[in-house]
Amino acid sequence: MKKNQLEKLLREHHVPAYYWALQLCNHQEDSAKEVLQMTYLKILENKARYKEQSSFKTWLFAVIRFTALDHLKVQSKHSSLDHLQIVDDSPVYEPELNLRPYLDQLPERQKQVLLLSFYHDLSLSNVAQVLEISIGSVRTHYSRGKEALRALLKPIRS
Amino acid sequence: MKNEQEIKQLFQGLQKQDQATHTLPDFDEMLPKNKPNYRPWLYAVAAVTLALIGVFSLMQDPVITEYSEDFNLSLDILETEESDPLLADNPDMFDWSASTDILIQDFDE
Repeated sequence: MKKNQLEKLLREHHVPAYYWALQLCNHQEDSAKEVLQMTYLKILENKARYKEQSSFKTWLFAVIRFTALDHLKVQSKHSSLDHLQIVDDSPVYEPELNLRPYLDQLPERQKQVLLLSFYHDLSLSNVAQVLEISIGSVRTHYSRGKEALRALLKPIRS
Repeated sequence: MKNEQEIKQLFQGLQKQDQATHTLPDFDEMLPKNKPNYRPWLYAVAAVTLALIGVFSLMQDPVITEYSEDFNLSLDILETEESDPLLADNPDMFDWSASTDILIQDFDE
């Protein structure tokens, strides 16, 4: 695929890509921007190649995830992405229920599966490709994640 | 939560929150900026430097090493009488005897 075609696709997916990077970087904007810049660089310099075996969005999300993992490892050698402490310093958005604190209480895998599925509208098979886990594992994380979220929200909603 | 639609609505709310709280960076800012290409300059500077060194070295008089004394090296083969007997001049064929002659001598004689 030519560079201008890749650039066009990246431009089309820029918004969801940024929010996915933001979610992987615990809503730290600077980190998310760095991750996205590195991702775009990898793609445009052909270090990550799109072989059209999945949708571009699925592939792009997988590359962002790898890049974020590397970035966070460098930033914090003693903590992995699965055990990062959540830093929430963004202003609180009041009009609706703020889901994020509850979502952040879920295990990382469950949270990522729910985000990819409900926030980014990926099918479960695409979620499996992004996270590089089996579809069975995705289904498990999906149902457990929903259950856990329901349990966390129950006191508020009742 | 009754069904997945309810969860979906919650996530849509989260999307709105993200849009309200985070500024989306401009796509063009995210693209790798073209680095200034220093290479042609480096090559030019290197070429000019090498050319100057070459011209400078050619302009200098060549250094001639002068020898104060001549010397000759001669290689001779020195012949001595103590050299290997096999190299003896003109050995007489009739004087020659094999070193194993003794083995075929008739001891009854």
